[in-house]
Amino acid sequence: MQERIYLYPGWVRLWHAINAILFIVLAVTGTSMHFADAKSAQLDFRTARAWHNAAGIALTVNLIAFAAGNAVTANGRHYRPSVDTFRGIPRQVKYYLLGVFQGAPHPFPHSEARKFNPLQQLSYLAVMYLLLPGLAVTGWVLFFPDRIPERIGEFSGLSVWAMSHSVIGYLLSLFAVVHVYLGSTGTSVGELYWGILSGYVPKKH
Amino acid sequence: MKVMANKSLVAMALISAAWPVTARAQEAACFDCHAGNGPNQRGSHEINQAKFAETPHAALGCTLCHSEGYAAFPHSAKEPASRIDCTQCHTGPDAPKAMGRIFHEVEASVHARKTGQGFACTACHNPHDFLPVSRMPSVAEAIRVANDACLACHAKAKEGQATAADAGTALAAKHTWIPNWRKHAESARCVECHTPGREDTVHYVMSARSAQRDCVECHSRDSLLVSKLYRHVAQEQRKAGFLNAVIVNDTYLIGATKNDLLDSLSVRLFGIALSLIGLHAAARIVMRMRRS
Repeated sequence: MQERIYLYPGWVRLWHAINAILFIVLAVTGTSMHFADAKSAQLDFRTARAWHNAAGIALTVNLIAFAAGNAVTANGRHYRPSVDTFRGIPRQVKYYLLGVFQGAPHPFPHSEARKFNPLQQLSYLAVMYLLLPGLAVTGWVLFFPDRIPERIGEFSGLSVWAMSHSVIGYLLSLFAVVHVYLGSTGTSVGELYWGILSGYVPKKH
Repeated sequence: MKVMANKSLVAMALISAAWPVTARAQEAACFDCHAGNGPNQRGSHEINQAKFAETPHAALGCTLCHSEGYAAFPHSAKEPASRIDCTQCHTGPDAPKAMGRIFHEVEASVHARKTGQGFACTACHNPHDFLPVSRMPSVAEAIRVANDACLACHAKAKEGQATAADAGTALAAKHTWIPNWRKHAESARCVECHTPGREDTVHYVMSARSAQRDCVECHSRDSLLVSKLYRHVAQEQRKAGFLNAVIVNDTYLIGATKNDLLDSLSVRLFGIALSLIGLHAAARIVMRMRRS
């Protein structure tokens, strides 16, 4: 039997699953409200709003749980970039552009010490500690529209917060699509998808 | 009615022509007693001259409307307000700001049906203060003035309610289905929802039962606010459709105010990302087949 490493502990898998479900709910309901139209089939506006609000609150709780989990367990170290992280970027990019087609070995194979390749590390850092908190903060501000200043500079205050929320949500959706696709770039197509469900990935030598 | 309107027109023309001499002197005489500093409230005998001067009616002087019994001094001051009939000037094809359609809408509205013929224009509009929405200093001010007119009656303590605050609470309770009701009430007029949707009428007020309850009536690209409130916003401010130029406008309304540039950029970038993913995946499949 192939040797395996336990890469994703239970709490990380649970957090990831909840995060994924909530993000899908938020993206679908958010898009539905943004492009609301009486003539085309859309989610009912009031239903979309209720689900969007509930999922947004739940996502915030999940985000705080994630940050707390990373603070108290060793999982957080995977998100701390080093000089080597930046040095490794060209090799990882080259792999995605060339090596992956030639069946070349992964330049940064999984190990207990290194869960993410350099591109993963930096993008996850940006997503988890910058974009997702940004989405949560802008979303929470929009919960209290009457407290938002009427003008921010020459713009409507509400517009500034709402557009920031939309843009961050959009960037995260773009990340999610690429993230799901790159999940297929393990040694076999299903290896990494199975890994995030079971916690185990095959050990590479 | 038409004859009367024409008579009024003639009177108006005469007054306007003679304005510098007679009407101004006459108005000054009226304001000797009736000048006030506060808001021009209905039923009040004190008129804020500065506010009145901004209205289209200021050009007409006082006695065109307050005609009978007011020409001489001391006047009896017993002329009932209902005698002041807006239709005399505002009806007929030649009338300034002909409002025939509006009068019909009011007649058909729940206001007229419930109160009978007694529902005058002045029940909602104060002619001493009246400014068309297009001449209001801001959309927010237009909303406040319009809603204050509704609240003057609908937030007044009724039987069984001790105070106006109770009436306000009762009114809020009827609108609990609207999230952030207060914010909604500051962002749109009551009549946006309480008159038929996507028509430029705001006078055909329907019963509460028939009010708009579908959020998408406003929260969509073809928002009913286009044919109601924002109909009055200068055309150049909305040349790219309903407030698409979010940046130059004062408001944000999810579903209706969208930055088209941002939206089309988003959709295109998404398309490009998906195409690249498709190409990458296809190339991987082909190369894998070749290797095996």
